[in-house]
Amino acid sequence: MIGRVSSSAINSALVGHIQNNYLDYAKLTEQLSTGKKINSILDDTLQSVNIINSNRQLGKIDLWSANIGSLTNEITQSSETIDLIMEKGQRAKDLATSAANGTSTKDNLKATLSELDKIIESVVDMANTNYNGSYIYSGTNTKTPPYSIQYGIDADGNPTDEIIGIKYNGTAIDGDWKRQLEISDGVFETANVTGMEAFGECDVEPVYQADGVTPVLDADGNPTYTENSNSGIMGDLIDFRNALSDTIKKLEEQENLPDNATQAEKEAIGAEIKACYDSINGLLDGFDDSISKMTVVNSEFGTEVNKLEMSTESLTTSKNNLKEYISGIQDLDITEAVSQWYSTQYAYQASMQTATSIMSMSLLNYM
Amino acid sequence: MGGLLSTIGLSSSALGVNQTAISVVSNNIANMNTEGYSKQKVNLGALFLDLPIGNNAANQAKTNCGVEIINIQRYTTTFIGSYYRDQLSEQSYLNKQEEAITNIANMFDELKGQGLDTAIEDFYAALDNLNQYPTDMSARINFLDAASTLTTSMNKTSANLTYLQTLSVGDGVSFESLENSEIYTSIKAINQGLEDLANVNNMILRSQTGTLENNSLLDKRDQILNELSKYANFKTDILDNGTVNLSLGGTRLVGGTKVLATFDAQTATQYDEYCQRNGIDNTNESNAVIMLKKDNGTILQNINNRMTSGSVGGILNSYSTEDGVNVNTVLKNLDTLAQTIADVFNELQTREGAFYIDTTGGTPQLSNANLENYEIFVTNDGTTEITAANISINGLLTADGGYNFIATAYFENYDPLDPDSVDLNAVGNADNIIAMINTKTDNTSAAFNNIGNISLSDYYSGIIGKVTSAVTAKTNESDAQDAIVTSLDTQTKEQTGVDLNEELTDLVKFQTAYSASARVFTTCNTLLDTLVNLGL
Repeated sequence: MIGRVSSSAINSALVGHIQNNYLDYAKLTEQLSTGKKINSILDDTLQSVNIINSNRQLGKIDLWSANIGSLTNEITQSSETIDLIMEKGQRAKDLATSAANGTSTKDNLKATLSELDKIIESVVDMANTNYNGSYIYSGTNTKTPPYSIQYGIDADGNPTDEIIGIKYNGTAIDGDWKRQLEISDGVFETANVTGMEAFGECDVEPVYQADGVTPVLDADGNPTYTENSNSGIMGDLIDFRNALSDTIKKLEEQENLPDNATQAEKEAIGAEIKACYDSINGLLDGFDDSISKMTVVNSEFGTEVNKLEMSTESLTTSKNNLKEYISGIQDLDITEAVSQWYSTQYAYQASMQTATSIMSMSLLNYM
Repeated sequence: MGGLLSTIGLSSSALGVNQTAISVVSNNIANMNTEGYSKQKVNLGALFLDLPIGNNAANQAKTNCGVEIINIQRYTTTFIGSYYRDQLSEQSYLNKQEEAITNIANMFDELKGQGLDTAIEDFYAALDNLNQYPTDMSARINFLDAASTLTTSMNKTSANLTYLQTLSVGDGVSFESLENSEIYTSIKAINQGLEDLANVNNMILRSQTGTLENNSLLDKRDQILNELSKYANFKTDILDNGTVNLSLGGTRLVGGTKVLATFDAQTATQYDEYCQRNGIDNTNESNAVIMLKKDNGTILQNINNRMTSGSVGGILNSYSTEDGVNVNTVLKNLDTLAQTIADVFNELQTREGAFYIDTTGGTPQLSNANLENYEIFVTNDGTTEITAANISINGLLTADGGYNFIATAYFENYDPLDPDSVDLNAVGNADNIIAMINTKTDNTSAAFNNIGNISLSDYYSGIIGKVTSAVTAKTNESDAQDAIVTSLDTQTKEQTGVDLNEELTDLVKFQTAYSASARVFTTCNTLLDTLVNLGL
């Protein structure tokens, strides 16, 4: 029986070959139409897992790149605001320098005072910059404006429009003030600096009697204040304002001296005015310190931006490498595939042709 | 004179024999495409008269009485037959497993965007967005949406796997679902096969060997055995009279003309109840339990361990056991993943020091999340144990304004007795969200113990990896077995199949013999005529 061949065995073998060829052909056709070697995890189970992992990493990189973009934008915004506030601080210092030389008249000083008030208002406005719905200098108290101007009261306890302080309402500097974004696995970069750190504050409160309503008055019948804190440019601005208004007050007292005032009284007021000028003069170093403090913050921002730029570069590199890696695994070598496609097509055609010619042949044709 | 008449008789017998041979050939041709048909061949023999003949040549010639059909031989391959059936059984076992694992793999086909992996990544991306805009309503809603996509896609994958399982072995509880399952249909088919086999055995006993009828019954018998072997690895014992006895794991199923045992199935719950009634320790974890009912009334309650091959074995292995990579183990892994996700994020959401943003007072303010205890992930069916099938988002969060309750802020040094340890205005504090983002890389917390302290994505990759390598392994095994069966199939067909050319040659051969015999008959007839006319 060895060597026996039966029609049904030949037929099923032929069908099997045609099917195999068609499978190859169909598979190549799918690959060519998608441009990918691996279209389903069943195509290559091992490499598919690599593709999935790489795609996941690519997703993360996109996220981190977006975060770096946001960080850079917010930091740039913060840094520009600080630049503007530094300009204002510089202007205030110039005002102080010219006020301190003692040549200004009372009216000049009054004009300086009103310019200073404008400067204070615009500095507070700028420090209250809102970016993307958040106050950038508030730490994590993003819905609270970081600075509010405090106004004085009169002898009856009614509010006046005299600026007495600039209070910081953001997160405390020793508190949980950082807002961070992820820039690589588990690595977070801080987006903000607190207003307290950059600009300080000057928190001033009126002193009240036990009833909490009636102000405590000093010998001249003016309300008294306590200064809870004083730091940074905000402190300097308020200090300058206080010194300036003290000077103006003394100059007014000098003007209002009765004609019969004694020489001693005149000298006393002259000395007081001199002391006022000296105290304004003494503030100049403070301005320098505060401005250099802001410069430090800004240069730290600059360093951070550089670091972020470098991260972007390395992320871009890894992204390209990953894409290349995935493409190497998944993408089809079109030239090779097309030539294979033709050869499987020929094989498919040939198998069909031979099958039909073999199957139609039998002794029957010759009987 | 007697010599001439005997020659007529001889040629007429030759006519009959050749006619029968042609009819066998025509039967072969008619069945050349019939599945399971074995070619039959007429074996001819010369007829002798049993006479003392001595050396007389004339006497010797007289003893030749013509031709007879010795038998109609059926082409068989006994050895290949039983080996073939073993391989068939193994083939359907492996094919079933391949089919099952391929179905599972399709559900994890991230390249086709099936999405659990994407859902996990999107969930983390939403957390990242929420970290950037903790007070933003749309960031919160976006986060809840991403969480909901994650739970839905876990529910969906789990439901699909369970559906596959129910289709194959039932849900393990309701008998109705078992009745509609593939395994039950298979068992019914086996029972039908056993009955058919007993009938064929009976008919074989009553037919005469070496006849067309007997041969076609043997074909029928072999076909039934081949069909049965696809379901399970039955042991066949073919007797000399052509009948076959069938047994499985030592239990006789068909003996001669009788079916001695039939199959049945019960659900896991039914079997469990049986075990409890009879104080049997039930270690069975299958959804479906196969039973064997003997005709003497005894019932073998659980013979799952005897189904080690064939499609029934394949189904049980793929859908009903706890070993290897199959629906049950994959479902278990998904459940563990769901439980871990819930543990990890619920713990952060409700821990002490976690705060959510309360907007009820107009100005947003932080409020203690630990007091509210609004978990993110809960079950949707009221049970306490979170699985991939029931994990869902807490309805309190998805309700109107519920998005506020996401605990974004965290104060590490929070002391409930010290109001100064927390700044209620720090609505931009996203430290809790950062802690959630960190679970991508920091998996040291106890909540990650169940998945071996690796990240959620890595654990899920592990599931995919396990499934895909199982697909590769099973496909290779299955392909190899297919090749064996195909080659055996070809061998069987080559040895027992009908070849048209062979039949046509036979046809011409018998036709020629028939014509020649007819010529002998006419010649003798003419001779007789001559003799008869002599007397006139």
